[in-house]
Amino acid sequence: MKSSFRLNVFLLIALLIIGCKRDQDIVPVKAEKNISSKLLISYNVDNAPLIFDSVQYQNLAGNNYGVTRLEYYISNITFHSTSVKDFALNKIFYIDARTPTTNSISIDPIPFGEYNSITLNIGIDSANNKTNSLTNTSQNINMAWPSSMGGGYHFMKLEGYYDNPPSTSGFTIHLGQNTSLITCFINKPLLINSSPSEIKLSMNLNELFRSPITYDFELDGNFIMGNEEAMAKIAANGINVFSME
Amino acid sequence: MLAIVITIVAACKKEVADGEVPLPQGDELTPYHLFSPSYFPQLMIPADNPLTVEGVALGRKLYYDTIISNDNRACANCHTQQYAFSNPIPNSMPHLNLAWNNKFLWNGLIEGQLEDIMAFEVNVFFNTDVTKLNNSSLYPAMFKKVFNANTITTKHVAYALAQFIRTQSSTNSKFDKYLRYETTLTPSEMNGFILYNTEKGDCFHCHSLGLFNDNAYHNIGIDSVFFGVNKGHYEVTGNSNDLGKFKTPTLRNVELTAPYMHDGRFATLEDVVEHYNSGVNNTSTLDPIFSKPNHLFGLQLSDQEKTDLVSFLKTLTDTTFINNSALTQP
Repeated sequence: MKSSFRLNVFLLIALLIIGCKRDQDIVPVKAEKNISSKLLISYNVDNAPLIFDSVQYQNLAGNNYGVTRLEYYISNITFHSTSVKDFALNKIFYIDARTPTTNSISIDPIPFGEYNSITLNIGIDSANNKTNSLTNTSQNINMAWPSSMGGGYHFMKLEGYYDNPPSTSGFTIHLGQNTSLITCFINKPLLINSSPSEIKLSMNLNELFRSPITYDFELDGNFIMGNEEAMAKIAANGINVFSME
Repeated sequence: MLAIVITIVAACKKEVADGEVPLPQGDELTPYHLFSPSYFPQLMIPADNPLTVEGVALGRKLYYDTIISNDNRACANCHTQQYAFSNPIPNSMPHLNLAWNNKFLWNGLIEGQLEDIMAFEVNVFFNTDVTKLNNSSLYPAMFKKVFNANTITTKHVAYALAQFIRTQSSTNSKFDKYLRYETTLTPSEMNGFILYNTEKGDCFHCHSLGLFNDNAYHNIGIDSVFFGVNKGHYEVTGNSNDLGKFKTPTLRNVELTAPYMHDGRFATLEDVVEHYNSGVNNTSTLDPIFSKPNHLFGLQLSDQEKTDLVSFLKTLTDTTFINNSALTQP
């Protein structure tokens, strides 16, 4: 009886110690040094800051245009390195260029190391680009690509106006469906070390209309959802739309 | 032995974080479960106003009671159940599925949560005199139970109304049943549904499936010049880029919510469709979505397509909602 009591006390004390152990007390066997980071995204048109609702920019085709809306997803952000293991974030982020909070993204801690480049998708890979695959936030619902048109999500909604004498016309550059996924390449060395990192990316909208295909709203389309050829041109140009400051 | 167990429990008890304030609660309250279809956005209920059966009942009582005004008006005067809680006169917006909205009134005067718009209604629209509520024989006990309030304030009134209005959910239209594989659409309704979701009809960009709105503001080209209430969101922001922009109304129960637009200028759904088909005014703030290829501003629908579109819109009528006894005058 006495020994049974002692055993119970021992077990309870052991339970107390184990049960109350805090997460931070648990040290991994092999800790990999890393640092919390943020992606900060800004927008420009050939170095001029993007100001919404104002027709003041010109693309290579000579269209004078302004922007009223820019929403998109970025996903599969990957930091590439020749000295350490590539670091990939398997997350999808909704961005509204007009909403500052969505342009400051806290990302998983990045392992220390020297990275050579970053790749990321504008859009959602085919595995996840399916109707209702994302959590039903109001943003995701509004980005839905109708099932009758193939399903999934808009990858990007870029809207605005352009001069079309004697007045202005609207444009709606909507990308979606797997063939218009843009894989952006940012070729700039990046050192991640002990200091908290803020990785500043800048999107130059004119890159979407420049190379390798000069895109003209009048000739190539100002309203392109469902126009696969026009979407493909924008997607091809989008590879260089981001740069790192 | 008992002491040891108590020690263990006490030692492991979660600490209350600094600044964490217990919710104001009265006696035992019964949680109210609000159904949210899988194709709706996530339901947001503020932590300081959880839905309870008692709170909803209090809000429902207030909704129909002229005590909240000084001129014999109640919410229900302008929000009648048979019209999906809208009313032809004075062309009030419907109260339905507002639990999933964050912008309120045609011009978006109030943004935030239902508690915010109800605070506006109580403090500004009705100018509620809480003395009458505090002196009533009925309400003090109800507010005490729901909010543990010894004195009723306008905030308590707004919170109670918000609880009831959150339950005015319309989720059982023919279209909902179609989504649940419980019924089929007629050929005309199906054609309308397809039109709705393609670039030709192009309704879906603003009236997104689910809530059938997008919680955003748009100029849909109903005016060529802007004055008075036609200025829309500009009245709130003073920004000329917002001239003529209005909150996208839900299309759920749209068959019941005539007349249409912020000023009730269109009497029928056919009139509305014809506007999109041939009546769009191109102004500087017209939503770019209206600029169709070849510089066209109308949908170019055939008569049959217009009929089909209206047929589909009528599948959004929810007779369960307008006959729901839980929403009637108590």
